Amino acid sequence: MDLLTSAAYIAIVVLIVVNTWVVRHMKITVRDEDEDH
Amino acid sequence: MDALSERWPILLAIAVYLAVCLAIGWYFQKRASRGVSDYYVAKRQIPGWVISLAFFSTFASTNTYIGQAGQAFAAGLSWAWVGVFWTLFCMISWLLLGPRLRDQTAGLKSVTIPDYFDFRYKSPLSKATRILSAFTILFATIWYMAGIAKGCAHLLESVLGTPYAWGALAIIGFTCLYTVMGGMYSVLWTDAVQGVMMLAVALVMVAIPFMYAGGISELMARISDVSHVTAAGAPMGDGLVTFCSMVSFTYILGIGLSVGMKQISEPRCLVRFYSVDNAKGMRFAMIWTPIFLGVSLLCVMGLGALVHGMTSEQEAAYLIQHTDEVVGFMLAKFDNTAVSAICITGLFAAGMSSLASVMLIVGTAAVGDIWNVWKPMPASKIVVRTKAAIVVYSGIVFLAAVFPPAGIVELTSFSGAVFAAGFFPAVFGGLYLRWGTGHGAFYSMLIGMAATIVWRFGIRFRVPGLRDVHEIIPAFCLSLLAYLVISKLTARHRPPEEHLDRIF
Repeated sequence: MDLLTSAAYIAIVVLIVVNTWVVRHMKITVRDEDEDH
Repeated sequence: MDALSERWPILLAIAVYLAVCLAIGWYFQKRASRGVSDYYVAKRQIPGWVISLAFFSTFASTNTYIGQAGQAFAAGLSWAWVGVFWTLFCMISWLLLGPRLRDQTAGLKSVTIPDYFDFRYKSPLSKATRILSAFTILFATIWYMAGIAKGCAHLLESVLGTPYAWGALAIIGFTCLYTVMGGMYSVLWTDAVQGVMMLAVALVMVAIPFMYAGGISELMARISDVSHVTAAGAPMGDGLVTFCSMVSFTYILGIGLSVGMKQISEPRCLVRFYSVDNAKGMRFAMIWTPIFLGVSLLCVMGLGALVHGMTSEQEAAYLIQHTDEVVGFMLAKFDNTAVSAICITGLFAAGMSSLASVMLIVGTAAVGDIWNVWKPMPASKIVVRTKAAIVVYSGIVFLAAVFPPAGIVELTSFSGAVFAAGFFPAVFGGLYLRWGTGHGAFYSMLIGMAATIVWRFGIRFRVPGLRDVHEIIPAFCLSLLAYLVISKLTARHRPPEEHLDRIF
């Protein structure tokens, strides 16, 4: 398999790792239906 | 009798799976009927892990597991690049849209995507935007649903010998039954079960060519230089493992965007965010949904290329013209009843999870966003009428599946582009741009849909060199631009500041 073809498989793994890192460092809030800002 | 003794594991696996789905629907029947918020969004009380699996199983369907997997037979391992775009849009959807949409819709008491447009924009065109988007859902999804039912019915026909029409009736009937019974509760919980099955099946399917060939290096050696020919009759040689030697990157980009962007625009995916129970659940789903999707795509998107290692020259010459049959061929060639039973049940799960989600969206759009806006009704009647609408629409889908129009697969792909170009700017602008207006939302929707139709039927196949440029690309850019420009030009129609303060 050439480099650019294998890069697709590597890219999916890299995306998953980056996403996990970003979400772990994000502040996430979820409000209830009756709650006002 | 002989046929039954050979196929009993497949029948048993399908029967157990259907029994579980119906049991879930039965279990949630009472809770779902308590009110509109319960039936439409499961009271926003579903754990993050269930939503995560449900999002994955709703987005991926038989089209992914049979159609896209088979496509790699003609396109080679480069087809995995489509999976990169899909994983990327899954991330974008959860990072950019998930938490904000959950937050704003709870504040606005919105339970559908069309009513979000109405409540968020609060302009003279809000109701028109709501009704336009609801009608788009009704007309654009029928082909998608009929396409899925068609794929599952063909599978039943080839595996169990069930007549096509009866197979379509069974798939649509069972899915309709548990969706009507438990509303969003049963759709999400059955989706979660189906998501687990789909992940397992992806892992099993990718292992089959390697086991058949006798190992990783043996299979890779077989497919790295094949004597098979392409659809045009040219020798493949090392094309299966060489970047874009059998398909252009523009084409990969078109499919990657048009299908991947469904995750940021189609109501069946977006409405998943409404039901997440709390911040912990949201964080879990934001991390794990791209993992579930990414892992399954790693297994599935190059599968067809690997199947070349299981085929003779004659078999490859047939399959290159019928890529939808590649997965079925692989299972038949491997000839293991237990493996076939697991995979076929998983493929049904892939189809039914998407079908159920769309059925509910269609019912809520027809009753909550069209009927109830046209002639308001008491809340007690909304759920009952939504159930009736789902049954009626399922009947129409059955007819469309039994008498499919020519090019139904093309219609399915086209409807995905309509959603991305029509819905995304209004959703994204609504979530992030305080200055976005109802006029911007309404006209960007119209322009996006019109541009999709014009590019597809008037330009793409008539102008040389543009065949591989999918309608999603020009239509999406035009629609986004229209939203920004029209919102700026119609600033006087912005909702009152106190309304915006409550949302943002």
